[in-house]
Amino acid sequence: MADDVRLICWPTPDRLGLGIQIKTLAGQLHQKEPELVQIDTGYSEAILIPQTLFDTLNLAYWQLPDSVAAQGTTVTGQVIHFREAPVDIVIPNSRIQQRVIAQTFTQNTRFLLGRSFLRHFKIILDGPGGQTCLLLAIP
Amino acid sequence: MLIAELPQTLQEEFERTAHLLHGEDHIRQALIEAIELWLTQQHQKLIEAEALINNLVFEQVRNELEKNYPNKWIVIANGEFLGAADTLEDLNHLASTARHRIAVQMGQTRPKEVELGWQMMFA
Repeated sequence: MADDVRLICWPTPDRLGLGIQIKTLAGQLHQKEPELVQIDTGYSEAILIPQTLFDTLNLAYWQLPDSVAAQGTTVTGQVIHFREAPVDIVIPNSRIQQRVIAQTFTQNTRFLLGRSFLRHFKIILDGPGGQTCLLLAIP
Repeated sequence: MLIAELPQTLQEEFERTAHLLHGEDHIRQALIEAIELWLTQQHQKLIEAEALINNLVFEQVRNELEKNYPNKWIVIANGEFLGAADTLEDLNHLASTARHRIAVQMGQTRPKEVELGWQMMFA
């Protein structure tokens, strides 16, 4: 028998994404209202945040060691060394608060959700409807 | 109030550019932006200096920490191992004035290589 579900949807006519807030381990939210963050299923980790946000949230206070932090390689062979720190991703109205490792790198301006975060949820990419929906089971 | 004498050519170019960009109240606005930028840069340098020391210390004591604190979160700040606990929240109070701390769960492995996806692949 199918579970009862409800959907939380965000209008995403151009880019598919979810409305989230980032919360530091000190309880600071990155902004008062959720921000629509684009989904990139090619990105293997949980969340990539702009360097300025990493610095504004003072995430260096919870930073993983350089020798533990990951790296990536671009098509041109440039190696990207990530700065990483744990944060919570909050989705208001859903009771979702997921602890993940946030990544950034020098001069990064991109804000992306990746597969490691998506793996925890059921998400509908509604192309014709121009929206992205989070599917939640009703207890 | 701050009073400082600038090299004449620098002052002239500064005033000219500030006037172009900000119009009235141009000097004050340009100075605020310049000082904010300078402070951000200096703050970043201080973080990097602390990070360098903390990472060196982590590598020195890493084996010992893995042996003594398996699966515990540990914190290193100001070049010292400060404590271990079951949760990172339990360590939030340590070195509260530090700009950089190392916080890591011992024995946990993370993927070393990230698949960047199309957004970053061409960075």
